[in-house]
Amino acid sequence: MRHVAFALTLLIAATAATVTHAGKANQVRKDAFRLLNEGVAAYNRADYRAAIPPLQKAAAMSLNSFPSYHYLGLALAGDRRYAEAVEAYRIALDLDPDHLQANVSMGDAWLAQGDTDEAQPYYVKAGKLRPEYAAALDGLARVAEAQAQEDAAIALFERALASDKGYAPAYTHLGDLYLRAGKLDEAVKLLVEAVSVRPDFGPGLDRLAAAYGRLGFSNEAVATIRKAIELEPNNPEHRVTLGEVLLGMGVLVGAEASFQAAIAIDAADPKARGGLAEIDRRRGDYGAALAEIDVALADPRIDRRSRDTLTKQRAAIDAERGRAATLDAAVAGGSATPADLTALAALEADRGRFDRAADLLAQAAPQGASRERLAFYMFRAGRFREAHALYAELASASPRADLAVNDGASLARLGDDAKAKAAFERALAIDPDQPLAKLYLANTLMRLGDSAAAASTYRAFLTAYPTGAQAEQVRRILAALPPGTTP
Amino acid sequence: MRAILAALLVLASMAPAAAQDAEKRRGFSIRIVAPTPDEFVLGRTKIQAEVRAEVPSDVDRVEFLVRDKVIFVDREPPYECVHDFGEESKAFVIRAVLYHREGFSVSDVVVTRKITIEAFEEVNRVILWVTVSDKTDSPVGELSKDNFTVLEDGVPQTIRDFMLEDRPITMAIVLDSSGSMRDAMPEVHQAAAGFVETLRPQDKALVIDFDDKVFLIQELTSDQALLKEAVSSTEALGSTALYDGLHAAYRKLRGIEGRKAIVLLSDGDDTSSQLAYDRILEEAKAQSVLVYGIGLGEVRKSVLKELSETTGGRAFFVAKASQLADVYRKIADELRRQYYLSYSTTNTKWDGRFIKLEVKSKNPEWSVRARRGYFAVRGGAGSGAAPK
Repeated sequence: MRHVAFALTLLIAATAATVTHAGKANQVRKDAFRLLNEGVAAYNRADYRAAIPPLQKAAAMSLNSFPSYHYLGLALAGDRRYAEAVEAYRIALDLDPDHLQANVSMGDAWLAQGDTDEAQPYYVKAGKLRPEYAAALDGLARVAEAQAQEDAAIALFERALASDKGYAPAYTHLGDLYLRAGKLDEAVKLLVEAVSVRPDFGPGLDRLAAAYGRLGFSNEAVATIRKAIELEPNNPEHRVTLGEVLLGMGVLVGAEASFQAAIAIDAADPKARGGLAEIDRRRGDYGAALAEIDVALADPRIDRRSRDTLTKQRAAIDAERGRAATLDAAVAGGSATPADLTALAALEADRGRFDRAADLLAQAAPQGASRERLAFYMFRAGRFREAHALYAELASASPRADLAVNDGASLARLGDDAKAKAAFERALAIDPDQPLAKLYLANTLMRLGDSAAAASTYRAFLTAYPTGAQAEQVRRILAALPPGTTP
Repeated sequence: MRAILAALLVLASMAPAAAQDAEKRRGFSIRIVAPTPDEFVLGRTKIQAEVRAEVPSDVDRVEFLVRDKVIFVDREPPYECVHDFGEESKAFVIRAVLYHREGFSVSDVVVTRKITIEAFEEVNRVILWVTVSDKTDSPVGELSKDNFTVLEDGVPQTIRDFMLEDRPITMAIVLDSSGSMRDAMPEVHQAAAGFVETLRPQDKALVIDFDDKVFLIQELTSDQALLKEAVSSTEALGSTALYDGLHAAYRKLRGIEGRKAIVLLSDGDDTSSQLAYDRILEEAKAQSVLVYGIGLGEVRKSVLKELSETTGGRAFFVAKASQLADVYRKIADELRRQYYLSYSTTNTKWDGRFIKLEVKSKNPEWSVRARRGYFAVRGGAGSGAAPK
């Protein structure tokens, strides 16, 4: 009954508002309300670009409406217009200085621009308003990380998680920190936790996909990022991550399509443009690569970190263009020295063009360590027979475990598992701790059908090397083996 | 290394006290009393902390930190220091850490606020709009700079330009449409529409109305028909968010060059603003906008008076709505007879303090109104376009 009375009061109040105001003033009130609803609806479906115009209009009309300014800030930040978002948040915080989320949002907008000095006070304030507030601690952690204070950042992330075990952003940010630090096991653990506590958390799925990509779990990476794309189709970051995963797999066409999809959402997305530039570079189209970066750099929304990254990438591409032109001319003109050929081969290898790299290096008649590199190029180019011949020759001249492993890997790729097994066993005889020899031997044993011996070798590998991408792969293989598989 | 230590300090100070320390911490506390949370700080500012210790000798020291850097260590009361926050307004994290002689510590933190101070055209040049009236309250015309002296914190200044201001003005017409205005509305509409008619074609105005919500009814325009339609469409409902309305007007005028004014009509005290009066007064000091406040009926005069006088504007108080037309006429008349005055300041210390200004007439029978001061921020000494 009380609810009914309250509802009636609301109804009467709403009716009164409609009836009382007439003319221009009334129209402005109605429009402001409608535009705010339109903007919030678009924001809630993550269509930030569509949300901005109605929210801008609502905020311009409804001058002391906290929600209008706060949502406008959120939508602008969603569209990477952080400087404008700061202005909207500033008005929102003028109207409600103690609004927890608005303080955190303001901190985020400053942090996204790389300004930790401006960001920190807002997180501190949110933390003061609600002690141990997970979002505030998470923000302070990101400030610490941006200031290269990793230990402090980790401690703050952990405090955020201790405060709120269901706070997915802190798992994600800490996981991302580990990912950047190359601690892939810890990263995956946290990122899996992020998507366990919030299965629909796009940023968590995004970073988990990136971690899987780094671990070499291509299928998992692609599946995970596709889920993020499904959840947040308007978020270009997920398309970028898919592009990066595919680029890591060497699938240039797929990566290009994914970066283009990101650009269809945000024409100047710095990571997407950077990704396309890398593809162009690998194809030797330096002009196109530089043009891609220039588009992103010309965008006024670009944040400081992206600008620095792209500026460095641009300088590197530009320098490589000059070097490549000189070397190409020398090779074409027949004046290339062995050093020129070696340098051009290295450049081609860096672009992923191992076949040409091998040919160029072979022309240089390499000796010593350069012959090992030639064997590697051949291996990467899929010329396993030549690679095997060279590794076998090098291994017989110098009995080293790594050379035997590479020979074994070449043989395995040629389908000769029996000889490969022998090569790996030779490597282990030279160096019983050679990790790849153990791992590859186990793989070969699996292919040869000796699951029990394979399981035993995998376990020995895990005992010696319990962390890292390969350990994670081995755990998965062991988990997939039938329970009774014992030596 | 220093940065890492500072971050760890942030971490420690935000952490809840360990249980075993709770007993010792009882009666051992620190609180920053100045600046206060959300205050803005500029230049050399005192930071004061209030320390509570049941046994005073338990206090080892108090460390003051700004942006995670230790700026002062105090070992005896009063626990305070002065820090130069610079001439640019920023948000700062100010922390005071009280150390017990047994090693543990307690702390307090205050976060200050960033404010926007009007952007200015010419460095070190102060621009004022001056109104001079005689004994009969009529504006005085045809004056020269020799009729005036300008004092900055009591120091005489040399006037550079002085002229009758006839360049366009930008105005915010702010109307109270709270429920208590219901009976007065027809006369408010008429009086405000009459005021709009006094605008010259080159002048611009916008219209804001407020009850508990603040709406921009008409964006800046010179079109008198649109402005009249806007001021005539307001209807009375709800409570009074006077300060929110004023703050909105300041925001709308920010960044516009030249002479600016807010003409505000209200019939009551603020009852529902999200912003406090201090915040509006701060805005009045930081922006170069003349405020003309009109109080209708029983209003608290001090608020409108202080706001208007701080800015060089004026407050009017009338008992009946029928008197509004006359007040609006007076304001229009005053705006047409204002003087532009500029001088090069002798101030050389740009430390963010508020410099008091006084414009005096050499004729004791004239009263002079102008802005009461400005923040000593480089390039922040005055606002408006210089005469050609």
